[in-house]
Amino acid sequence: MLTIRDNDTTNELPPFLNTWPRMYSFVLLNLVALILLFYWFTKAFE
Amino acid sequence: MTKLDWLVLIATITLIVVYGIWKGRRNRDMQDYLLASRSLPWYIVCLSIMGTQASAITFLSAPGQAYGDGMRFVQFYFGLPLAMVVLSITAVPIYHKLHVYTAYEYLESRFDLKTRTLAATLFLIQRGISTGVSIYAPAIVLSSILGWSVQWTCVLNGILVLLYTVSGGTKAVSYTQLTQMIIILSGMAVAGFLTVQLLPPDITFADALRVAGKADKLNVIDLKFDPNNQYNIWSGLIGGFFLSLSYFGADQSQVGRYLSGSSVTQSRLGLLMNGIVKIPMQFGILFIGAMVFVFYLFVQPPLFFNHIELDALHDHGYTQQVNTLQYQQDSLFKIQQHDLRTLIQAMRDNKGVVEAEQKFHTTRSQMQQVRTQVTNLIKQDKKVEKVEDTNYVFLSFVTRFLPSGLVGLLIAIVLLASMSSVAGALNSLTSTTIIDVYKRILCPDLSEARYLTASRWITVGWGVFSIVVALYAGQLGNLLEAVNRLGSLFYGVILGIFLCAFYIRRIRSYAVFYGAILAQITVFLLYWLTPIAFLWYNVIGCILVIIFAFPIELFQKKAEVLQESETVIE
Repeated sequence: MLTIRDNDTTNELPPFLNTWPRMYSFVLLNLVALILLFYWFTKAFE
Repeated sequence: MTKLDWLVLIATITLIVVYGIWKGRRNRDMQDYLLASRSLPWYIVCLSIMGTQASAITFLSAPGQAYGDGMRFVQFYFGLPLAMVVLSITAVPIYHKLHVYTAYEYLESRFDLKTRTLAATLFLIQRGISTGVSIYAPAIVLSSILGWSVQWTCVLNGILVLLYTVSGGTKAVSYTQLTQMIIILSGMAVAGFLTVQLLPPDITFADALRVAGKADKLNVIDLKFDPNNQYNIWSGLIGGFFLSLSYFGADQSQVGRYLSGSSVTQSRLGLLMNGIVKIPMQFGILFIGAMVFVFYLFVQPPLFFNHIELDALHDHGYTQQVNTLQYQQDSLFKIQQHDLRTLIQAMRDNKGVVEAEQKFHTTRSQMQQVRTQVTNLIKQDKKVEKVEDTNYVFLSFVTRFLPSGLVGLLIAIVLLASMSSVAGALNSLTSTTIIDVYKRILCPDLSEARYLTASRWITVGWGVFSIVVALYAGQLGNLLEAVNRLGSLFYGVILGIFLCAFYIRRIRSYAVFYGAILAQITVFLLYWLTPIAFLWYNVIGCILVIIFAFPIELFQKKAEVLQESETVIE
C-alpha cells in the first residue's frame, strides 16, 4: 500500500557543519550550554 | 484602545488572512492541499513547527506564569532538543521514504488497520479538544478589552482562521506561519524592552534582576527530584523528552509540518533548528513576565487581574469586603515600597541584605494573603473550586501601560499566534480524518477532486467543533497547563505505540493494540487517583504500552504454537 520514494535523500549532507552527527552534537551541546547558563543565572540571582 | 491601535490590529490581521488566501490559491490535489506538494525549505518548516506549537496561550499564559510562579516553566522544554535529534535520525527518513501523508499511515504498514485507527482516534480526540482551547485563549483577550462576549469572540476568531485554512490548505498555513512568527517575535522583543524601560528611572536593570531573584522569579533551574513537582530539571528532561518525542513524532499537527519539507534534509534541519531556538524563545517570554512582576512592585497591581470578576463581586453584593481588601492592599503596598527600596539599597551596598530581605518577604506574603482572600471571594461568588488570573496578567499590563500602536500590535500578536496554531491543528485534523478515516475506511475509491472537496468540508467541520469546545474552555483554569495536561494523558500511549513500531520488532499488532488500550485506561485511573505531576504521564503511558504489550505478545505466541500443534495432530 505504501510506496518507497524514488528521490530518496536520506544520505544528503547538511548545509552546515558538513555531517549529520556534527549537526546532532551541536544541538545537544547547545542544550548543555543553555542549562549551564540558566543554572548560573538562577544561582547568581537567588 | 486608540484609533491607531485599531488600525494596526485590523491591518495586521487583514494582511495575514489575505496573504494566506493568496498563497494557497493553487491547490490541485490532496498532495498540494495537505502537504504543500512536499516543497518547503527548512526555514519555513522550522517557523511552521514553532508557529504550530506556540499558540496564543504561550504568549498570554507564560508571562503570567512567570509573574506568579517564576521562570521554572522553561525546564518543561529541556527534553525538546533531545527529541528533535532522535526524530531526525529515526522518524523523518522513515516517513519520507514511505511517502506517507500522516504518521498513522505508517502504523498500518507496521501493524494493522485497527492500530492505525486507534492511534488516529486518540490523536483526533486530544487535538480536537486542545484546538478549542487555542481558540478560547485570545477570545478572553478580546472580550476583556472590547467588552465583547467571549462566545462571539471565539466564533470570530475561528472564522478568521477558517477563511484561509479551508481555501489554502498547508501552503497557506505554512507561509502565514512564517510571517506570523516574524511579527510575533519582533513584537514580543519590543514589549520586553519597553517593560524594562517602564521601571522607575533610579532602578537599573541589575536592580530589577536582583529583586526578581530575591522574589524567586528567576528560578530557572530546580535540581531537586520530586515526581509531584511539575517543573524541575528531571521532569523537564525526561518527561519533556517523552512529551516532545510524542508531540513531534506521533502528533500529526507537527508531523504534517515537517512532511511538507522538500527532502529529508529540509525536514531534519527544520526540526533541529527548532531544537536550538525554542528554549531561548521561551526563556525570553518568561523573562518578560518576571520583568512585569518587578514593574508591579513599583506600581500597585489590581486586586485581581481579571477586572470582570472583580466587577461581578461588586454587582453581587461583595462591595464592602472588596473595599476592605482594597484598603488593606493600599496600606501594605506603601509598606512594601519602603521595604523594597531598603532591600535594593542593601543589595547595592551589600550590607544588611538578610534583614531587608526578611522584611520584604513578610510584606509580600501579607500582600499575597490579601490576593488569596480576593480569590476566595470570587470562588465563593462563582461557586467554583479554582479561580486564576494568570492569563490576564500580561494582557492587563499591555493595555494599561504600553504606548498606543503597540497595544494594537500586541493584541494582533495574540490573535496571530492563535490563528497560527489553530490553522496548523485544523490542517492536521483534516489530514488524519481524510487519509486515515474517510479515504481508508469510509470512501476508498473517489477521485482526487472529490477528496479535495471533502478535505475542505472536513476542515470546516473541525473548525466548527473547535469553536464549540472553545465556548466551554473557560472552566479549565490555567490554559497553558490545561493543554499540556490533556496532551500528556494521551501522548504517552501514542508514543508507546510508535516506539513499538520503530524499535521493538517482536511486538505485533494484536499485542500493541490491546496493550495501548490497557495503558490508556491505566493512565486515566492514575490521573484520577494519584497526585503525580502531569508531565510524567508521557513516560508512564509510553512504558505501560510496552509493559502490557510484551506479555500479550507471549500469550499470543503460545496460543499460536498450541493451535499449530493441534492442527498437526488433526
